[in-house]
Amino acid sequence: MLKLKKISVHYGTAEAVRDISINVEEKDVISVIGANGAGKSTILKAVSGLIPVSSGEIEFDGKRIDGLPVNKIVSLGLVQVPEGRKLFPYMNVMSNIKLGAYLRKDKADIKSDLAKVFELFPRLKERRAQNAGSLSGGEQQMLAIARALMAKPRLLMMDEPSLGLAPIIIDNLSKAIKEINRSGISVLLVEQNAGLVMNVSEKCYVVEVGKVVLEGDMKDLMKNDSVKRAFLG
Amino acid sequence: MEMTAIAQSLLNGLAISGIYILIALGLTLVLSIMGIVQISHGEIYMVGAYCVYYLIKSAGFSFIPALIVATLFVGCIGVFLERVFFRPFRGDPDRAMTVSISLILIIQNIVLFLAGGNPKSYSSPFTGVLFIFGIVIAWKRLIIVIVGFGLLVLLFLFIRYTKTGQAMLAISQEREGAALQGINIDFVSAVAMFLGCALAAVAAGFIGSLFSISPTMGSFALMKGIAVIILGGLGSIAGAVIGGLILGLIDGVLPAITSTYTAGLVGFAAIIIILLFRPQGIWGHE
Ligand SMILES: Nc1ncnc2c1ncn2[C@@H]1O[C@H](COP(=O)(O)OP(=O)(O)OP(=O)(O)O)[C@@H](O)[C@H]1O
Ligand SMILES: [Mg+2]
Repeated sequence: MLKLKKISVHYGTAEAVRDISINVEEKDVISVIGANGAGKSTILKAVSGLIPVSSGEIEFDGKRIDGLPVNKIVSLGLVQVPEGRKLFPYMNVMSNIKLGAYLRKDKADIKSDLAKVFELFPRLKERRAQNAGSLSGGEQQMLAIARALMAKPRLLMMDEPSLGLAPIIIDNLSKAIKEINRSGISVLLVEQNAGLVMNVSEKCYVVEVGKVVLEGDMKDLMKNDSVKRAFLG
Repeated sequence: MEMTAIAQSLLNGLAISGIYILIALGLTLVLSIMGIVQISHGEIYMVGAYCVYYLIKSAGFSFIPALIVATLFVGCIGVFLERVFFRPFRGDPDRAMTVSISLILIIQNIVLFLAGGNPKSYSSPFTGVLFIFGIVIAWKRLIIVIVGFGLLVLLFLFIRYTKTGQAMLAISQEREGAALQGINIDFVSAVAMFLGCALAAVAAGFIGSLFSISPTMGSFALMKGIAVIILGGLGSIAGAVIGGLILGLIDGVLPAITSTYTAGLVGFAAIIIILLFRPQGIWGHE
């Protein structure tokens, strides 16, 4: 459903990623791994339309989406949980979640989605009146995911959701990702945490200095040296 | 001092607060949504006063319709400026600042060319006084308090209860996060400029009914507006209100007790002292 065809992205004149091709099919959980600065976030930003691609094409459901404004891309169901969460720190949990549904007009559905999100993350329901900035790291990550789910994604992109979380919280995270995937949402996961990636996804791309150097099944890849490099940073 | 004198200078202070708050809210909205210290905000304000003047003197409007038309018109100027001058420089505050400085010169000279440099004036239709408990209150000041704080409440409700208002808050706190929710930053920026400029026009329209207007009146307004938002906390709406109240009361009440010069000194001394203890301003975040 999502196809990146040989995309390159530049910041000014500096090339960040080059000729990246990635495929995500319906119901997939696909991972992208790579060391710091490899270009993982850049790839997701390009898909969301936050930065333009300098060459190549991005297709969603067979239609080109590169060049579309961010809000159009979100409304197609291509939603991102960004690196560092990017919550609204001085707004409460409820307001953050509601802003996830900013583009939606189906009031009744929004309500039932809200109930589902609270079912997935009961903790957020308890904390709904608390400011996002005062949540713990794990709660903030849940909130970032909850907010994205309220946009009714068909494909959810997550950028290093495990960053800064304790192992036990990362376990919860992988359960949540599987649950989200079971509900029919495809997932494109950018990660450096090996455990999480092996737990939730079968197929994986390895990025090194802006290029895909390997792709394939998780189990085969784990034996490979560049995979180890990617995970160890 | 007798009761009436105290009440009058308090009312004076509140009226000035109302004006300062309206000016500062515009600066704050534009700063927090567009990331620009819009230093030609004073010129927008000045244009507002001239619009009211010409609508009254040349087009035969009475004050209130003139104020409403001028407010909407200046709001639209704001949308135009956002689209043509500020949007291309979003995320580049230095260049946006240069643009803003150029706009001061451009707008001032356009008004000088069209209206000349002589001060002009029109009078408030709110003449007469109100007697409460033996205290005499001038309507032309009371109306500023009512309108100023009324607009403040409306703005608060807009931000709290509308989608666009929530989008404004979101952008001011986390721009990229807001974009990723599908918030159209261009549209919300245009709304912020419309509101900010419209509020400045309301303030100027009332000021023109109390004092004379001139092409350079904007610099005083800008100076006060900047002082208010720094005192209150940059980018905070509640801060603009608190800062405006404090500075307005100082500027409105003190001259009645001491001299105008002392009052001016006290105002800025108060800012410095408060900032020593709270560098982020009264209501600012960290
Ligand atoms: N805004 C920017 N301006 C200039 N260069 C940038 C910018 N953002 C990223 N880069 C550069 O692009 C390259 C890829 O960065 P990117 O953030 O995509 O890496 P990443 O794989 O997500 O790293 P991390 O694991 O640390 O998040 C890096 O060399 C980085 O320095
Ligand atoms: Mg990254």
